[in-house]
Amino acid sequence: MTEFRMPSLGADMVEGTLLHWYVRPGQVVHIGDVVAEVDTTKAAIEVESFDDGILAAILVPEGATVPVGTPLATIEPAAGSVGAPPSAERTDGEPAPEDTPADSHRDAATTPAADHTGPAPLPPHTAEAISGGREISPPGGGGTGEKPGHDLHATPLIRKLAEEAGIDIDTVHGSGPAGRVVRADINRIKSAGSSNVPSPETERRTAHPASTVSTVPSDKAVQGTPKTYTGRASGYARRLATAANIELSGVQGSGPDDAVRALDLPTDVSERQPAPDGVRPPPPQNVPGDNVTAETPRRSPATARQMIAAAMTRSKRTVPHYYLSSTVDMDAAMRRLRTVNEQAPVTERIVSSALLLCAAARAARAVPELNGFWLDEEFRPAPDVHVGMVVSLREGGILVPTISDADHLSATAMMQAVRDAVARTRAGRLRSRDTVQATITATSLGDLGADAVFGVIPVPQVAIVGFGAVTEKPCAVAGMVGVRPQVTATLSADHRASDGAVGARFLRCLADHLQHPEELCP
Amino acid sequence: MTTGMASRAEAVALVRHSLSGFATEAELAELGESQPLRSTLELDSIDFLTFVERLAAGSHRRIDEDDYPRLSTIESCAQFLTESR
Repeated sequence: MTEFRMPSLGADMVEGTLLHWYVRPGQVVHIGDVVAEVDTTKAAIEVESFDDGILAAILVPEGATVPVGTPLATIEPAAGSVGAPPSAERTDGEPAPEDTPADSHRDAATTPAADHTGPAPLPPHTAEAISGGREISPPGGGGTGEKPGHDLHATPLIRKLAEEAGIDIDTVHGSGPAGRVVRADINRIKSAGSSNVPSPETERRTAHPASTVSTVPSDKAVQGTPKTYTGRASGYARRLATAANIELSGVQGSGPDDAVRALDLPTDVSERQPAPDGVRPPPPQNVPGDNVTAETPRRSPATARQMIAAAMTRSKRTVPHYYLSSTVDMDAAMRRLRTVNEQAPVTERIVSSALLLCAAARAARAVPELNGFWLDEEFRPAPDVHVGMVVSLREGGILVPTISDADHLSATAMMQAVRDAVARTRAGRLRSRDTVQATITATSLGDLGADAVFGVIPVPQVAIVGFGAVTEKPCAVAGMVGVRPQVTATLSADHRASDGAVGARFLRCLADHLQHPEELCP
Repeated sequence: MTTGMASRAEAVALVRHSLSGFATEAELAELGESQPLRSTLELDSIDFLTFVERLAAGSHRRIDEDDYPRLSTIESCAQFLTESR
C-alpha cells in the first residue's frame, strides 16, 4: 500500500489546503491521473497518482489544511491491473482538469522519478523540521458537499469559490480559454450581479491567475479562527494576528482594497514573526465539534513575498555560502543549437538555457558532493538529480518547479520539460511532478540580461548554479584575440558540505559538457 | 498564400496580439511601437520563442533564428512581416 502526501513547493512552504478530491475510495487510478487539487500560498497543485491501483482511503478531507508530507490518501494495488497502460484512460469518464502537452513526454521524463520518489517532495524528517515537528489535525467535517463530477468548464478551485459565493457555476459564461470560468468571472458576478461581459480587467486577470487572489473576499477563511474578522486580510496577516491574539478589525489595511497585511500589524507582532527558523505561529485552534472550514492559504503577492523573505533570510543566516565563477566558451554549443534549430519548426527549437541546464544536471551527477541535502549536521547525497529551476513570475516573486531526473534528459527533452514547467508555473497551476524535492537548483538570469548571477541556496540543498547571458565577447583563441559567445557560469555552495575545490570541479565539468554539445543535443 | 502580410495595420495587430499574456492589457496598450520588446516586457528566451511561434503561425511564414534581431520592436516586427521576400 502506498500513500499520496501533501506536496511542497520548496522549503518555505509548510502547509497546503486540500481543495478537492477527484476520486473516491474504491475507484481505480492510473499513473498520471490527477487525483486531488491542493491550494498553497504560492500556487495550486494538481496531485497526480504515481501508481496504478485502487484508492483505498482518503485521510484528509476537503477543506483541511495540513503540513507538507502529511499522507492524503492511500492506494492499494489493483488485482489484475498489470498491463494497463499508464493513463490510457481516465477513471469515471472524468477528464483531467487540464491536460497539458507534457503528457507526451511524461513517460520518458517524469514517471521514472515517481517510481522511487513518489509525490512526497521532502524526506519525512525534512518536512517535520520545516513544520516544527508539529502535527496539525485536519478539522472534522471539512467536506464541502461538492458534487464529485467536474468538467473543463472550471477548475475545482473556481468551483469552490463559486459555491462559496452561492453562484451556480454551470450558468456562468467563462471568459477564459474555451469558455472556461476563471476567478475574475466569479468576482464579477459577485460584485456586479448578472453581467457576463468580459471586461479588460477579466482579460488581465485571465493572463495572471495568480494575481487575482487578493481580490477574493476571504470570509470563509476565518471561520476556523477564534476571532472572526470578515474583512480582507492576507493569510499571513491572519496567522500572525491569531498567534498574537489581535483583532484584525481594528487594524487599518494597506493592501489592495484595504486588505490587512502583515506589515499593518503592530510592530512587535511583525517582529515576532518566526520566519528565519521556518517555524510558524500555532495554527488556529479548532473548537471540537465546530463545523469549520480550514483557513485557505491565499496567493496574495504580499504573502508570497513574505515566504520568499523567510526562505532567503533563513538561508543567509544559516548557510555559509562560498561563491565561484567561470567563463565558459559557448562557441561549439551555440553552433550546435544553430544547426539543430535551422532544421526545426519554431515549436521544436531549443534555447541555450535548456542546454545549460542539461550541462548543470550532468555536472551534478558527476560531482555528488553538491547534489543533495544538509540535514542533521551532515551532508546526505541524493541518488538522483532533480534540478529546481527558478522561474520569475510576471506579477513579481519567484517559483521553483523541479525538473526530475534532469541528468538523463537530452536537450530536446529538457526544452520540452522546461517549457511545460514554465507554462504551468506562470499559470499558477503546478502538477505534483513539479514539486518533487529538488536536489540542486539553477537560475538563468542571463535570459533577462544579467551577466552573472550568484544565487542564494535553497535550504536544505547545498548548491545553486547561476547562468548569465550568452554574449559575444573577446577572448583568446589559439594565441589570438577572437570574438566568441561566452557565458558566465557561477556556483554558490554550502561550505559546510563542500569546499571550493569541489565547486571548481563542478564548474569544470559543466564547461566540459558544453564543449561536447552533440552529446547533450544529438 | 502570399509572402508578407497585406497591410502594416494587420501586421501591427498580429504583433500586439502575439504579445498577449506577457503583460497586462493596459501595459500592452501603452507599449510604444519603437520600444524594445524584450527588455520592456522582460521576456525570457522561452517567452520570446512563444512570441515568434505566434508570429509565424499568424503570418504563415517561416521565421528563422537569423530573423530574431529584426523582431526587436513592434515597428521592426511589422516591417519584417509586411515585406515580401
